[in-house]
This record gives sequence, C-alpha cells and structure tokens, in this order.
Amino acid sequence: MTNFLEQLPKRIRDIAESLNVLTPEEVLTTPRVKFLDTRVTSVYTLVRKCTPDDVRVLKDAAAKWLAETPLTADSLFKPLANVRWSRVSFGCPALDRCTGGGVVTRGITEICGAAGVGKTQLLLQLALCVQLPLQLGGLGKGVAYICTEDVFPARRLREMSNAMEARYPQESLNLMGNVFVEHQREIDTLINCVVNHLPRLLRQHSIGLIVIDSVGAIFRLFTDYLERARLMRRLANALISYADKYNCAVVCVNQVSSKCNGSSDDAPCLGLQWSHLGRTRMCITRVPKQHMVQDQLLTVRKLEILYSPETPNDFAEFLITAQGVVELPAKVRRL
Amino acid sequence: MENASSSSNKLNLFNNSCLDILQRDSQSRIATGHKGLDRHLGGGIALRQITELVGNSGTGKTKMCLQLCLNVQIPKSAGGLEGAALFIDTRRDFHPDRLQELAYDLERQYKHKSPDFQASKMLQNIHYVSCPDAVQLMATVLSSHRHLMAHPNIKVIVIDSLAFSLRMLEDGAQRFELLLELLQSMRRLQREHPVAWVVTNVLTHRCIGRQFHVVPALGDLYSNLINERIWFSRSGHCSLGKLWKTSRLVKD
Repeated sequence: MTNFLEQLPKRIRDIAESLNVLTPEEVLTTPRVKFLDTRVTSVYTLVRKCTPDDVRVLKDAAAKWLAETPLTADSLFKPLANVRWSRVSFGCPALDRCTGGGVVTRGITEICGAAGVGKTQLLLQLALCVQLPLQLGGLGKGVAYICTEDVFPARRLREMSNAMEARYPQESLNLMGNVFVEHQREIDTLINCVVNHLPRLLRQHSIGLIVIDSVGAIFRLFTDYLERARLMRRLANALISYADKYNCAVVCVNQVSSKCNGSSDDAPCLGLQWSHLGRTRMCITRVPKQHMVQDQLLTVRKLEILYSPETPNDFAEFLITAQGVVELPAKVRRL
Repeated sequence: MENASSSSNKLNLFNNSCLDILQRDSQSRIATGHKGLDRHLGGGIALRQITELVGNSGTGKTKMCLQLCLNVQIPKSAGGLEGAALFIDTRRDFHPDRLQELAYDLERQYKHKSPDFQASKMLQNIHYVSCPDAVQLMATVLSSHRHLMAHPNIKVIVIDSLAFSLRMLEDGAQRFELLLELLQSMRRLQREHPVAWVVTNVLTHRCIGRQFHVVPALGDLYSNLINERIWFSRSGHCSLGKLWKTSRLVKD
C-alpha cells in the first residue's frame, strides 16, 4: 500500500524501504531489531543510522493505519453486529436447550466420542438443519462436509432428509443438493483442500456449516508432535478465519482414547494443543439405558458440554432413530 | 552552592515515600469476586501491573476476564474504581449474552448499596475489539494509548488470549521478538496511565531433560516480565505464583 508510506516523513520512509518492508502489516510483524541492525543496512547509504525512536514512530504509524476502533459492548446486541453470534439448531429440542440454542457460528466446535456412538448421525442432522430458514433455527445456507475416514453416508442422509421434508412440507427444500462432500485421507491433501479449495467454494455458494469428520483420525498417526502441532494450528487458523469471514459454524470430530492411568473415563485425543484451538467441546457417550421405539430397542445417548464460553456444563439425552436424532419421550425423561 | 536536598527537589526525584505508595495502592485494586484470591492479592488486581491468568480450556479464565471488566466499574461509593474496560478478543470467546448475565448478577449484588449501578450502563463502559490475528493484535496494543486518550477512565485492558495469536506465527524467533515488543509497549502505557493489563495464557508441554513438563506457554523470559500469575485448574481452584511448584493454593 503505497499510501501508507507516502504519509510518513522521508527519513522513516527510507528506513522502511531499505529493508523492503512496504505494507503496514509487514511493519508490525518485523521485529524491531531488524530495523536497528546495522549489519543489514550499510552505513554508507543515504540513510542515517536508524534510532529506536524512528522505529517507534514507524510502528506507531502502522498501528494507527491498521487498528480498528473498539465498539462498546452494548452495541454488540444490535441487529447488525449480533449476527456474528448466531446459532445453528440441532433439530432436537433437548440438545438445543442444553447447548443454548445450537452450534455457534464462531470458532471451532469439537464433538468427541467413542467409535459408533453417533457422531456422524448428529452431524448429518446438523447438516440438514442448517439449511432450514432462520425462523426454524437454521441459517438457510449449505454445508461443506469433508470426510477423512469412511465413505460419506449418502443413503442415510437421504433417509433423514426425507423425514425432515415430511416435517416441514411447506418449505421447498433442496436438502441433498446443498451438501458439498469431499473425501481427503491424508493430512497434506486435507490442508491443501481447506486452505486453497474451500475459500473458492465459500465464495461461490453460501455455506453455513463446515464439517471435518474426523480430525482425530487424521492427526493420530503422527509421532512428531511439533510438526503435528504446527499443522493443527494451520488448519485451525484457516477454519477460524472462514468462520469469521463467512459467518459459518465449524464442527470438527475427535475421537477418545482411554487414559493411561487406568481410570475408566476416556479422554479426547490430540492433546492440549487441539483443546486450546477449539472453542467449544461436546462429548457424546452411550448411557446404559435403553428405550423401545416402534419395536426396536435403542440405546440412549448423552451429549455433554465439556467446556463452552457461553453455556454451563450441561448434558442432554437423545436417541437415534430412523428419522434422525430425537429427544427422549416426555414420560421417560427424568425431570 | 545549593545543598543536596534542594537540588533533588528540583530534579523531582525520590519524592514519594513508601507510606505514600502504600496508601495510594490500597485504593486502587480491582476486586476479582473470588474472596480468597482478593485476600491473597491484597484487595484484587493491582493497577500498573501485568497480571496473567493461566489455565487450560474450560477452567474459567474468560469468565474471570469478563468479571474483571464488570468489577472495575463498581462505583467509588461502594469501594470500587468506577472505571471502564477494554476487552481485546483474539479467541472469539467473548459472548455478549454471557456478559449481560454477569452484569445482571453484579447489579443484583450491589442493588442495596448503589441503586443506579445498572447493567445497561455497565455494558456501555466495556469497549470491545476483535483481533483475528497477530498483526491486528500488535496494531491494537500499539495504538491503545490513542484510545486511552479518548476514554481516560479505562482502568483495565484484557487480552484474551495473548498466547493464541502469537502461537499462530510460524517463526519462533519472530514470535519472541513480537512478544517482547508487546510487553514493552504495555509497560510504556502503564507508566503514563494507571491501567491494569490482564493477559490470558495456556499450558503447553515443554521437553526439559528427557521428560515433558506442563508449563505456561510463551516462554521463560516472558514469565519474568509479568507481575502476577494466577493458575486456574479444572477442579475450580485458583493458585497464585509464577511457578507451579512454588504457587500457593487459594482457599475461600
């Protein structure tokens, strides 16, 4: 941005140009020592030796150029700003109650659970619900679904979308056509897909939900923890920036592994690094209770919020039927 | 020939005695709302100091940050500072509904002492900036003095969380340098305005010798540059101290 440099006094502009630092972003991220280092800029050039005050003026100017003015907290409740905190409903009243309305469109929401406990089912339901219009709890937008281990369960989605269309016959929904599926089994291709190809999809279609099923499988095989941390951060950075820019919800699926110290609970995989990158963490487990629905004995599942910035650590029980994820019937639920 | 005392008066050095500082200090603390912590800290978070909140996800750091933003506004008649707050959000953990709930709680708590301590006015005094990456964070912190001129009653600035943006930078050396620059500009601001900086940090593994230890992120030199460190654990306890080994558990 040549405008930024032009408004500075000539001396400071020379200092910046001699290091080939031209944009305000580069000015702020170049450490101060680089400007003061006399090994880099020759003493015989026209630039007089750079002093710390000069660097401070330069950085101040860059900061002023880039900084945005703070808003007051109560202006965040007004309609234009509070769209940043919208939610995608789960389609099941119990789960919505427990999570405060559904999945937030900020940051990464992590759903962890053992194998076969119903994570993919819940995600399919979410993928259908996000396409519902705003007044029914969705966002009216499509889904980008990235599978890393199994094949995408298209037939199951068809079954669930038929049930949802039967529930809301007045809306003309094209539920299957708005779910964009991608299979990526390696970490490099996954990061390439998320960083390079996903923005193109986000620009062309309006996407309200990005799902990565599952992150646990793809990162578990790493032995070099530093490299794994770096890649996790890069992936999370890209996802969070899309959530900010396009106001969509991001859900990543994680697995659990049993703790080494012999206790019976399972801990989510991927360690501390991943837990810092996620904003909300929910855990699905099986409850040793069963319930009869139309001649089938189904096991009750429990969704528990492990941490979330806006809701207390609540839990809710649900069932997975042919129609999708439903809550327990009223007479069975403990009040 | 002037004698020594008059020349030192002209230079304006050594004018404050320890008693002055003690008296000034006891009136300028931000209550945290946690009784044991307030007792240990001598009233609360001190102004002109950098306090760090360390802990893993879900332990209550963001809640404490929001609570501090509200507690700084307690009116002077109830023993507070009656100031404003600036919240710098890098993790997008801020949620206005949660802030509103905490504001209503605080209003209820102080209803009998100062009836016009309203939740809506509290929300107007909290300024919010969202910094999605390290560049924005640097820009905001370096130009915070400008914002303080416009709103001189800001008494606490919260960065939630410092570790998140900086760790996204790939280059370790650059990360370190930028962290030092940030701390330097924070200190410069504190010299001019009576402001408390509250920073949030996370725990990470570090390989010391052959073993992995769980330590706060951002390094050892950074640990020397902050003033107070409060640990939050999963069980809901707080501990005070720079190193986990030498920290004292705070009991209610």
